[in-house]
Amino acid sequence: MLYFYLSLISDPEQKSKLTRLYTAYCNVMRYAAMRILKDSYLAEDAVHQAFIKISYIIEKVQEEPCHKTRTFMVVVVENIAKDMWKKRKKDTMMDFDLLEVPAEGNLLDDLLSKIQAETVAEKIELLPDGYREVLVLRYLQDYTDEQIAALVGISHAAVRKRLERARQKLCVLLKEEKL
Amino acid sequence: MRLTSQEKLKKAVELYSLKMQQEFPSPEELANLPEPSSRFQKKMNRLLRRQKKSYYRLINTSLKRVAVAILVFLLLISCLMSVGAIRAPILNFFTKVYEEYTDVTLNHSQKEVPEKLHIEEMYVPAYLPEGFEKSMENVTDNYLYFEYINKEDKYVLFEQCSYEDPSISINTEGTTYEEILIFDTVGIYYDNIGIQSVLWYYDGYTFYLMTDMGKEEALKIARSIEVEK
Repeated sequence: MLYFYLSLISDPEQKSKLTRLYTAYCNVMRYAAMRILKDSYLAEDAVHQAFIKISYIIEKVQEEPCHKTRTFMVVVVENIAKDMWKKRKKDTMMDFDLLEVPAEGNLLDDLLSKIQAETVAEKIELLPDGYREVLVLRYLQDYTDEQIAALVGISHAAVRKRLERARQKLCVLLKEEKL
Repeated sequence: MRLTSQEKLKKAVELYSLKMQQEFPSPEELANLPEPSSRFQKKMNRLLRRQKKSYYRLINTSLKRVAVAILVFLLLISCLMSVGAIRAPILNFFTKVYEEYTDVTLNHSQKEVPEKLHIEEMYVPAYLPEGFEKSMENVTDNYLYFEYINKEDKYVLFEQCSYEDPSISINTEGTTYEEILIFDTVGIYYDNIGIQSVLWYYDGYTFYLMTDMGKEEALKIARSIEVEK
């Protein structure tokens, strides 16, 4: 009986947001995962896993066709594909959360005020994957720590720490540029 | 106009995003990618179907869950007061055969075990064919998904859902379909282009299993599930 009441609220004709995102971005996500994993089956698994994660925060995902949404979808699947690749290769790659990055205080603000955005964008490209990912999720998609945690699969505290380290690492790269 | 450092960082990330897009082929070129595998399409269809269910939004917060639990309780009380007889314990599935697909839905009027709002006991297959290892897992409040593969890339996908409408749409063409008994309830078994699936309802949860290991193994795995210790 409950199903009957609940079914009154549903609109069976309306395709879900996740379906529309899937239709629009499945191919580019498969392509992105394939570039990393070099295996179509594994790439499909990465895309599937990405959609499971995206479904957790589906309300927040922008739907308008734009580079921001495309980048978001690609960043999510790339992160999963890289994790899968590391696990498969049993790679002992460096854990970037353990990287020692010197604390820079308000130096980043100072540097950002003096350096062109284009140059900052170039430095963002040089950041380790995990750092770049959280910066994209925070500054391109305006996600909260909780939403980033759900997507990346780490704790809220780890998100805050990783964002802090990402900014510190960016600061180091910008300082080198300025010198 | 002078940008604050936060705005500058936002702008820089946007520029990075635009640059990143240039690394990818156009949507027209991407349309030429090979068709995804049928295994992937089935997995995605399951995921997308679940997301379409409107009631998920009704129960996606604690307060809403409490509200739904109260509603369920009131409905059960009203049912008990109006219907004196004890309900039949055997579950039935309705099937509607259309030209291209068959809809299978659980007959709720004969359901005795109430659905659970979230997963209280995690079930896992106690039996798996030799050489299978867990390759992926995803566990949430009301959904559990395990994937096992072996070296030959054969696979077993196992799902446990709470508060899920156990209905499926099966391609009618090339599908063999039958009702099977799992524990004390009727389930659905079907084989479509070499992929075997089992759907059943047990202990207030919906279970779904998909494999390419054949009917005997599919049923053996389905009948082996037990609460994870």
